[in-house]
Amino acid sequence: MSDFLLYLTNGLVIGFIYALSALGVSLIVGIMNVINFAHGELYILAGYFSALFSVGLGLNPALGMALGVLAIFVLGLIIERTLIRPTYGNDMYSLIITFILSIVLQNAYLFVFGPYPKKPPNWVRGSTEVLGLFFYGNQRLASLLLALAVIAAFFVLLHRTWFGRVVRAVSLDREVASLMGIDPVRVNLVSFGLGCALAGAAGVILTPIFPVTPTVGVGVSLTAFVVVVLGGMGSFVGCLVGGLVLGLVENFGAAYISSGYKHVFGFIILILVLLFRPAGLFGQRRL
Amino acid sequence: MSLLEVRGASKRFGGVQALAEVSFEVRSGEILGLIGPNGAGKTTLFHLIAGTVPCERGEIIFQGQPIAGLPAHRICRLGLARTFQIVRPFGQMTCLENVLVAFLGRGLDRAERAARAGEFLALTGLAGKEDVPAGRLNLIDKKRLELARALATGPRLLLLDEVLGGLNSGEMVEALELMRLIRDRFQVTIFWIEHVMGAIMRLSERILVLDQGRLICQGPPEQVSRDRRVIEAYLGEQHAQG
Amino acid sequence: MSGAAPGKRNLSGPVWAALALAAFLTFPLILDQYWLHTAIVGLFYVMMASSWNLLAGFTGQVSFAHAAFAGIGAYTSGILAARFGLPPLLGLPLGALLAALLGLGLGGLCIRMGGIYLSLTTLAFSEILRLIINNEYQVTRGTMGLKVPTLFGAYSKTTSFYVMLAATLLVLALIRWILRSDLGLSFRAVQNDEVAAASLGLPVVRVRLTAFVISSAMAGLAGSLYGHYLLLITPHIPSLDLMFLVLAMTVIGGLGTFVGPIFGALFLEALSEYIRVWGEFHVLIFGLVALGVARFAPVGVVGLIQGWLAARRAGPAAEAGR
Repeated sequence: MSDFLLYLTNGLVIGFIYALSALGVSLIVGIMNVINFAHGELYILAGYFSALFSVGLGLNPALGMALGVLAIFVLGLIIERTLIRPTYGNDMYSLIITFILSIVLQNAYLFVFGPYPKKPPNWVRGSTEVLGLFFYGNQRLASLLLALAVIAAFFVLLHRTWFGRVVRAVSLDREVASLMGIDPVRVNLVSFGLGCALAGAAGVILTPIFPVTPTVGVGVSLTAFVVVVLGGMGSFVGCLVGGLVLGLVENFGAAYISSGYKHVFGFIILILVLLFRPAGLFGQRRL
Repeated sequence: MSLLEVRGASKRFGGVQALAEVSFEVRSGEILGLIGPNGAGKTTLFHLIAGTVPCERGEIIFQGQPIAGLPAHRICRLGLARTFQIVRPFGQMTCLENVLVAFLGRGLDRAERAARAGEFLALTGLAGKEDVPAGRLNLIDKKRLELARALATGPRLLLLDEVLGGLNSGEMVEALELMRLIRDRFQVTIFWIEHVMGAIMRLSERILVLDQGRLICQGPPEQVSRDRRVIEAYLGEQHAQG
Repeated sequence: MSGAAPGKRNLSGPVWAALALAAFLTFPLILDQYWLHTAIVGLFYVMMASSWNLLAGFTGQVSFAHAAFAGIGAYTSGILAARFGLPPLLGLPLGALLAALLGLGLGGLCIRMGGIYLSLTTLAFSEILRLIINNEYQVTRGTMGLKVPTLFGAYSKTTSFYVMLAATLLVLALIRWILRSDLGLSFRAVQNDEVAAASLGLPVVRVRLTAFVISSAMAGLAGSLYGHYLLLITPHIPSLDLMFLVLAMTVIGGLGTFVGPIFGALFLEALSEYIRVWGEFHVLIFGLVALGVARFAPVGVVGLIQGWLAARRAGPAAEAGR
């Protein structure tokens, strides 16, 4: 029984972090109809930065994380302005460019940071007894809490701020939103930066548990993409539900079926979604 | 004889009811006009009939066959062609190639196709521009190309969406003559949307009027132009703009 | 095929092709073993880049499973040969067939949902294949590599070169024939404007799927040939690294042109050999160059040259026409 609860908890922890990561992808897809293939590489970079700031520069871990995410946000703005903006209206080139970018970044990381895993130090140590049934690592619990906090902050942003209202309007109907006088260029810029920042946030939250290497980016990206397809493109609630589903399926699947094929479960989910409900659980956008 | 029957067609986009319970018929051999203020749902209606946008509520029956929900390419093969309000040329292909696309999968051999494509281009006034990439044409020529292309599919019913926009009076006379020719020589029924009131009133045998997604009037041009509801609908639009 | 009218043929085109072919035929005589190997690998990339270009450059679909399909071809004929003793000459078409079937399945799943879904799904497929190959170590020998026999006869670089050349010419001829056929016209129409294409009676999804299946089969064929040349099939073939090289070669050479991928593949493969002297930097460098080309000159090197030539030929007439 405690094994089951352990898998369940693992699934929830990783599920919420998957959801957080997917929010970044969903935001960019919903606003700009662009898939950021470099999503995973930005997640990694944030991890590297937080490791660098706290280990290399000896900064307070919280500060290191915040700076890491901020750096990714700024990088996102730069990427949008220089690479993405010229491809407006041409979906094919944005796919190609972000893919090339992801490869360039991967190789740059190999060159700059080397092939060995890097991680920032744990924020908390030890473990806690959960419900009197099993012990669970404190770092994982802390990561979960932080992920929940960021997700909550995102939904507050979405529903209580001017920017959030704009995002929801554009996600629903781009043409109508532009008729309402919303400047699409600035919205795109900030959305892309924010989407990258969310990837970075997931990165800094998860790297104390899973160290980063230059090549883990593809897996991170794919996981986020599967969650977005499962939840439905343009739906943020969908990211939440999709992330949890994927996290749980992966952990239970790895435990009870096969651990070597953990990531195949995501692919199976993808195929099932495409077969039976291509728009996803909460998808409303017409292509 | 009813070529096209539309019963209770409705379409919602998010929170907006673009069309509500629109019902009418298109008679074989006629030239039927569709007018209405901006945003009335005219182009949306065309999208539904032609299958560009799926029709989920209502029935559409073409030549006795239900077509609501069929994909656009199947509807075209059944004999229903359309042009677009905002032109959609195959920009990186030549005018000839644009028309040749219409002949794909219809069993003509190559030489025949090239000859017939040339004829359609000449018919719409594009003779000599066969090898020009469509993207380089001016707007009027792009509209001509769109018409030639749609006509080349050999339709029974042709949906024309604002083909007269931007024409001077001489070109407009030619265009109206062309439409009559299309109906008479090719046996094509024409259902068209137009903002140039004089032209559509002169050429159409019957007129449908849409306002805010509803069909508010239909009948011969003289009757429609005097209908109080129609006048109010257009005055309302003028008022909003003025 | 960038907007050029049918029937107006560029006289120098076939002449250049004949000269290039003549040059290639002499390679085994004039090149040393190292550069002959490079030429063979270059031809593999010509097949891969050209078939990927058929998909991305002529129907606008960005697939990331191209290398994976090459891997399917390679591992199919490789495993059949190594474990069941099937002659590679028979395994070759089987590999291409399996690649085509998987292409049909994958494409059938996601093409109707649009370009983004295709890219995502092919990326996922590529990763899953890599996982399976690594996990099923018993059969595939994982990263150690699966030893396979040559295509036929004794191993000889010269024979391998001519086989690769023949296959490449076949693939190129097939692509050229497709582009000039009705199918090619439907590809280009769908790429230019799929809504308009559908309104004229083209079954858009079916057209896209056809392109996807054809290009997958070609990748499978190329992969098989490559594997039996290397005598060792490793997960490098279906890797995203190889996928990236194919993409970069096509983009830099000229997406949407016939000659672009040929030039890109040969040029970049040769260049990578020079760069390798200093270290494994060629991926990073090609990446940066590809990024620059995609951003500033999307038509690629060949596209730029074609545009320049066309402008020169048109001369003052072009100015009057504006």
